[in-house]
Amino acid sequence: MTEKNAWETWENTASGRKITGNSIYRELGGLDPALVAQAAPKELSFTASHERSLAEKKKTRGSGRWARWVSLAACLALLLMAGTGLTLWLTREKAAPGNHTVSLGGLRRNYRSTAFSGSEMAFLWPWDEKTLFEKYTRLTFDGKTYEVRDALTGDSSISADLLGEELGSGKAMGHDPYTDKTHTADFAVRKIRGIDEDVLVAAGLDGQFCVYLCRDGRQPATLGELMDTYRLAGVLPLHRFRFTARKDAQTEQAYVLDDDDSLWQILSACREAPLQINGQGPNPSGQSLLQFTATSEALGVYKRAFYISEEGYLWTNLLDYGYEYFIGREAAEKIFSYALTHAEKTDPEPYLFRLAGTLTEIGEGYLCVDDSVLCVDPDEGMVFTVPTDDLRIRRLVSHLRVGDTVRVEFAGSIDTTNGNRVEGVCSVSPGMIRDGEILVNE
Amino acid sequence: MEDKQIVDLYWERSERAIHETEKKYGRYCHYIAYRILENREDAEEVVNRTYLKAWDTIPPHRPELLKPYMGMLARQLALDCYEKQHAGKRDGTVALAIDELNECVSAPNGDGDPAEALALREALNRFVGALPTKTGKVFILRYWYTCSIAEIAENCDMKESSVSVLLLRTRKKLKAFLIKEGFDL
Repeated sequence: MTEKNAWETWENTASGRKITGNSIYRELGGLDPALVAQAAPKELSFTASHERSLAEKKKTRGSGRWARWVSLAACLALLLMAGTGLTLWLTREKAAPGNHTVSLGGLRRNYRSTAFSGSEMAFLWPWDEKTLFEKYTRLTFDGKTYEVRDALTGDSSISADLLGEELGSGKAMGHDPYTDKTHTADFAVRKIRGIDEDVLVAAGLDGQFCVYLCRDGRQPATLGELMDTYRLAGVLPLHRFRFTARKDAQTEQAYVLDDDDSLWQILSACREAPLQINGQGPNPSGQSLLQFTATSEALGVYKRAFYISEEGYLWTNLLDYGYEYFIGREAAEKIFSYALTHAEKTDPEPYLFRLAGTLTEIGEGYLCVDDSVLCVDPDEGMVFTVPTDDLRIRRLVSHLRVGDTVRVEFAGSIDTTNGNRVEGVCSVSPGMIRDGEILVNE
Repeated sequence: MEDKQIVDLYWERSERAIHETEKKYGRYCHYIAYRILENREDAEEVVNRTYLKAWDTIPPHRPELLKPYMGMLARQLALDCYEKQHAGKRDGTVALAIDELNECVSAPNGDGDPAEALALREALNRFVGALPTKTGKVFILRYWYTCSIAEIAENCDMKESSVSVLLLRTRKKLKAFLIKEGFDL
């Protein structure tokens, strides 16, 4: 939906007034956002206004900072994607140059600096340069509205073995902000195996399907309803988790668990666990916590949160909004006990892996990136092959030149037996190097 | 952080969306609210509500331009707050701006209907969109951002008297335009 439409749907504006100075003033609130943005006062005006307001000598009303609104929002909110807390070496700014061992999709590298800073490039792509599911983000089917699941940078395509029976045809819609035009297409709609089509369907064209989530669905009232409706035990592996101990919240340990059947059995015994309408978020009281990383192709989610607290609360953002269920302390203890005794310690994993280096070649269907510039010993530099067959990467290539410093984000691994091929590439951004750090252009 | 990334954070229901919005547009929203309410605490309260409103409205909305979207929310909430506080009597910069706009109409009070409000909004978009760039900017600064004449003069490198004259002419044009559009003034 365009912001212009959003403005038009803003409640309370058209509340029934004749044309008056007041109504003109109020309805001007619905002006085209582009006009409003163009006319914005200079930045200095904001500062001056802010300083004037600070000069007011009025009694404060307590802690009226936005933080309390944030905490209120957080009650409803999802935590940032599950892996965020793991991004460690990538997010520290100004790390001292030295010797840092990092893991790139399982491949260990010794870099002299591990700090990246700056913002990523974000393009608003023309319609023709968008992928099918970047174009068509909304679907109406059987009287309900579905939104595409943006599992990982716009790609939540689903493989054929997860597709169930054909359900019919739906109307897919997308908006092109360049032309302010709304496009529609007839999408084939299919069931996702075992999952209720009232909540989640696969839709697409020409054998390419993506997961769409119904926005009209009701909240699962019990854990059993959540598990059954979305067939969680079958489609959501609980293999990676972090454990945070109550008394040492600063220390987290990552684990990997081979078999999650027992966990699902324990959870199945908690089917009646009720939804906590006024849940407090994932772990408000700082108890010990198991933080499972929830990635599921069938659900169209990548590294979401599935948390179990020592106190007996299960909290997840699988369905975008945070849902919390009380499974009880006893069940939580069983899960903690099983997970911690059967899992093996492992390295933490970032939300996305990132490698950086010099772009040495732009070939047909691939890029080559040499990371020597970051290595403690430049002779140990490696050349990585970044496939560009995916439109999301291919369209970036015209913005890059051989010799550029680039950063590559990827979700998969590096195949060292196949020219250090990087799997699951999500983005390539140009950057620059200063004192051993990669600065990514804004 | 780019607007698109911030909007994506809202869609991911990430709490960080609010932090990033505050960082990038907090002062902008505060400016808009403060111009209307002329009270720091009330403006801060409105800005807080603005973040919450953004949280509630994105999704389903996906604003391409987050700045004016946040500004629109802040303006609307500030105006609601202003009207609640000033029921029956008006003062401050908003009252001045509204009084000026009353010059465009002959009957400053009366009952209307929602359809007319929507039609008015569309007409105002056409009118402002067709104004020369500088005139449009001055008009929006005065009646959207509720800037004082002095502030507009400073922002647009104009004399205050020139701003006043330009606004007067634009209001006259607006009145003629609304009559031509068939509005009951």
